[in-house]
Amino acid sequence: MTNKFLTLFFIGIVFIASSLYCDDFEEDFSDEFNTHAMQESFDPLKSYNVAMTKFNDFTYINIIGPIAKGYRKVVSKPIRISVSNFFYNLMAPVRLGNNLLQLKFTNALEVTVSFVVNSTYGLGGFFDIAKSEGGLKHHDEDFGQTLGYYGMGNEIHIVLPLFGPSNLRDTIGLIGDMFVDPIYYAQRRDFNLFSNNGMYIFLNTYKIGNEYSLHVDEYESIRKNSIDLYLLLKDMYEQRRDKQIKE
Amino acid sequence: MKNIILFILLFSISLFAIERDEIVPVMTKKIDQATTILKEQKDLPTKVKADKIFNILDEVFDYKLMAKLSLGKSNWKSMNKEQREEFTKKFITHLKKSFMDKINLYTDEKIKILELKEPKKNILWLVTELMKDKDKYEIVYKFHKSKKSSWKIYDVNILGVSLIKTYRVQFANALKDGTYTALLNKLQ
Repeated sequence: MTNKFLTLFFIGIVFIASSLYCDDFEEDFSDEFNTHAMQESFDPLKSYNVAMTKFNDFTYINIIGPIAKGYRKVVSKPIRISVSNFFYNLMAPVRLGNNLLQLKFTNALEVTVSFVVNSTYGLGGFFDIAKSEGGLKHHDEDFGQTLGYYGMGNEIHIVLPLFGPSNLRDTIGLIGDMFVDPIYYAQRRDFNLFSNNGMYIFLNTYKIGNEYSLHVDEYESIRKNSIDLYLLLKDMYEQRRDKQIKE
Repeated sequence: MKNIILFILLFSISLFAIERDEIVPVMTKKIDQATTILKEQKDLPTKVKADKIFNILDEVFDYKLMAKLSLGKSNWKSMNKEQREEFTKKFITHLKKSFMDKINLYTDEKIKILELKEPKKNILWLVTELMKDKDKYEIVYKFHKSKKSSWKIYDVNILGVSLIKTYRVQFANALKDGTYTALLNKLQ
């Protein structure tokens, strides 16, 4: 009896121990995480990128952050959201063009309707009533996503000054989108009334500053808990873009 | 004899277990409890709020598996048992600290459960949506079921960004350029 007892006891212990210490890197996860690590290894501009990340981080923490926080204290949140809506509405040509380029015609129509509704009933775009009242979706598309849609990969990661993480594809995309961005045409030109580039610089700075005032705490929380800030931002950016392109 | 069998059974089956059909109701309840704490007990110190939320959520998170997956198979295997245990402990602390820092970002967001997807066997994705100001953020809680435990969360995807993947990249690089001790120091 005692022998049986002991045998059973040992079997039990072995069973528990094996279930506790077995390596359960089962099939279930291999393709979900392993492919990812391989994509990360190619980074020809790494030393530049790391330096630019440090520069950006310094600028955001010491200059742009304090300004955004001061601005946040003075200007209430609903107003900042309205300003953000205004700039978002202004960028409709970018979304329209890229939805069309990706042959997403229903989305393009929705973007157009939103733009018309918000520009008029939404008082020049300050209120996004197309979404809040009409339930229309945003369908954000940019030229970087269009290039991705047609198969261009994200091979070369580039950290842009102040803009932060990007890659070759999305940098080309940014330049492409610039031409349909209305603010771009606020630069001094022969055919318009601007006598210098003051308005252009002001609008762009205000747009970025206002947006950052809505997200300043999020960035600070992300950087605080990073183990390697450059790699974390790079990976977050690329994962996010991959998802946007697939949508 | 009976006692021993009972003893073995008790130890091999974890006390908390959710079945597939219970994921949506259990998570709805837990998310609701957690957001209620954030909303109605705003003035409590962050640490107290966080502990209350961990009490609610701990049983659905498989922190040990998260630690393993973050490190990756080869790095995990190259460590000895003590190193693994130490790493797992530090990883969980880091994860919780990082969550705690984000608690104060919460204002009055609403979380809506959208659907439960089954991308493959033993994996379920609970797709939720967080509404903040004018934006919607998709958050996916990824559940796994193994032989030894019921459905538990092994990864969280926010706007398409996998928490585990971001850790994995950072850990892999830290171990490529430095030692295991250096990694542990960075995890402090």
